[in-house]
Amino acid sequence: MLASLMQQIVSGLAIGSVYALVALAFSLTVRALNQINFATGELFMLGAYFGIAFTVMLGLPFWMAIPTTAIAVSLVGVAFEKLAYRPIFKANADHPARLHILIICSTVGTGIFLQNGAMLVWGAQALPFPKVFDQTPLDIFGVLIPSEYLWITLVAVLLMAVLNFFLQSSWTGKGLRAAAQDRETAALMGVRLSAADSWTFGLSAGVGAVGGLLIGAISFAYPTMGAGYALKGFTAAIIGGLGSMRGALVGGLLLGLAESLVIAFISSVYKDVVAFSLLLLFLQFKPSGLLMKPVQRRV
Amino acid sequence: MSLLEIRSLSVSYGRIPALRDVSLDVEEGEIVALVGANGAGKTTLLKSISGLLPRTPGSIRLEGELIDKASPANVVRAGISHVPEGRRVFPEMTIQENLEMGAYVRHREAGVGQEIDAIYERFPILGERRKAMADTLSGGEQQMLVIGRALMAKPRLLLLDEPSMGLAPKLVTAIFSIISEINGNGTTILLVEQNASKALGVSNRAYVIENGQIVMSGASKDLVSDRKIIDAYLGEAID
Repeated sequence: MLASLMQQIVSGLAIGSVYALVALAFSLTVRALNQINFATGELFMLGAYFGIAFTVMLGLPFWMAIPTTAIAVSLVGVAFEKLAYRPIFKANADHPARLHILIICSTVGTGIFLQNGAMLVWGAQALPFPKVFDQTPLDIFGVLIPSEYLWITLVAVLLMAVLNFFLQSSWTGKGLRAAAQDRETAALMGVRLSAADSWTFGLSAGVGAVGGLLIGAISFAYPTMGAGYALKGFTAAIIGGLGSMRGALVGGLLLGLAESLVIAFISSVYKDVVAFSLLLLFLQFKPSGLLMKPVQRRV
Repeated sequence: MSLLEIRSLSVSYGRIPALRDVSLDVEEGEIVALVGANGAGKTTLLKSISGLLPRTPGSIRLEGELIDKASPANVVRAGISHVPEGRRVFPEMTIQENLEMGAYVRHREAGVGQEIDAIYERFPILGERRKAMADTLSGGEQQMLVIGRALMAKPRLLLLDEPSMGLAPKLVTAIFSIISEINGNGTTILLVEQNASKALGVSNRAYVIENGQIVMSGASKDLVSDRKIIDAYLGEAID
C-alpha cells in the first residue's frame, strides 16, 4: 500500500510538473498581453512531434532534443505572433473588448490549424516515441520508482528555473517584465514592444513544447494530445494564480498530486472530476488563485 | 539652432483633433513650461515628441535632426527622456530595477552601476530601500524614482508631465527644487504643469495651450503678471 502510494505521489509530481509548464505557457501571455492563447495545447503537441523528429530522424540524443525542440517550437510561436496576433492587435488596439474576442478566434483557429497540420504531416494515429529513459526502476528504500518520472520532474523544474533566471537577470528579461507591467512606460524606456510580444509568444510556445516532449517521451505523440493537457494546465494556472510564475509551479504540482491521491485512494476514473471540480471551485471562490493578488484597477 | 524645434504639429485621436498647428522651441539649457487646463493637449504634445503617438503633419527636430518618424526607443537614444504623468513606476520591480530600466537603451555601456549610485546620492531615500518593490513607495518617493529613472538615460532634454500632481505642498516644493537642480546640472527641461504659478516660477519661458493650440508665449516672469494668465490659471493658486 505504502509503496503504491509513494509511486503515485512520484508520478503525480512528474505529471504535475508538466501541468506547471503548460500553466506557465498560459500565464506568460496573460501576464504580458492579457490574452489567453488557446493554441497552447497544440504547441504542446508540436513539442512531442518535434521531439520525435529530432531524436529519430536526426538521431540527436534526448538531452539535446530538449533545447532544440524548445527553440524550434519557440520559433513557431514567434511566427504565430507575427501572423496571427500582431495584425489583429494593431488593427484593434483601441478596442480592448473586440480585441479579446478576435484574439480568442485567432488563437483557437491557429490551434485547429496546427492540429490538422500535424495530422497531415504525421498522420492521425499515435506515433511511438523511442524509449529514452532507463527502464529499470530506481529502488528508493525498497520502493520501486520508475526513473522516467524523476527525470520529467527534474527537466521541468530546471526549465522553470532557467526561465526565471532569464526574466529576472537578463536585460531582455527585465524589458519583458517592464512591458508586462506597463507597456507605454516600457516603450518610453526604449523597450521595443513588438519584439517583446514576439518574445512572449516564443517563450510561451517553447515552455509548453517541452511539456509535450516530456509527456511524449513516456507515451505517444498524436495530433489531439494537447487538448487534455491544455485544460489541466489551465486549471493549474487558475489554482496557482493565472499570470503568476510561482503560481504555475504551485498549481501544477498541487493538481498533479491531487490527481495521484485520487487514483491511490479512490479510482483513476475520478481524477478528472476532481481536477475540474477544483477549477470550478477556484473560479467561483478564489479566481485570483493562491499566489496572485486580486486584480486592482490602476488609475 | 534650438535643441527642440516643433513646427506646425497637428495630432488627432481618430477624428478628434488634439493638437492644432503647434509650434514651439526649447533652447539648450532652458526650463520651458507648458501651461494649460486639463485636456488642453499638454500630455498629447509630450507623447508625440517621445513617439508614443503618430505625428502628422508637422515636424519635430532635435538639434536639427528630424525625429518625428522615430520610435520611442530611438527618441530616448537621441537624448529625450519622458517622465509620464501619474508616477508610472514599474510596480512589481525593485527600486534598483526601475532605475536599471531607465538605462535600458544604454545597458551595453559601462558605468550604469555608478550612475545608479549617483541617483542614490541625490535621493538617499531611494538608496535606503533599493531592494523594495516600487509600489511600496509613497507618492513623493515614486515621483523621485521616475525622475531618477529618466535621468539614467542621460537625456539632453527631459520631458516632465505633471510632476507635482497629487503631492502634498511640501513635496511639491521639494520636486520643484529638484527640477531646478537638474537643470542647473545641464539638462534642458520641458515641463508640463497644471500648477501654473509654480511652473512659471521655475521656468525661463512658457507657452500657454488651450484647446490644442498655443495661445500665448513669452518669458515666464512676464506671463506671471499678465492679466489674462492670472485670471485663467493663477486665480486663487498664487502663493
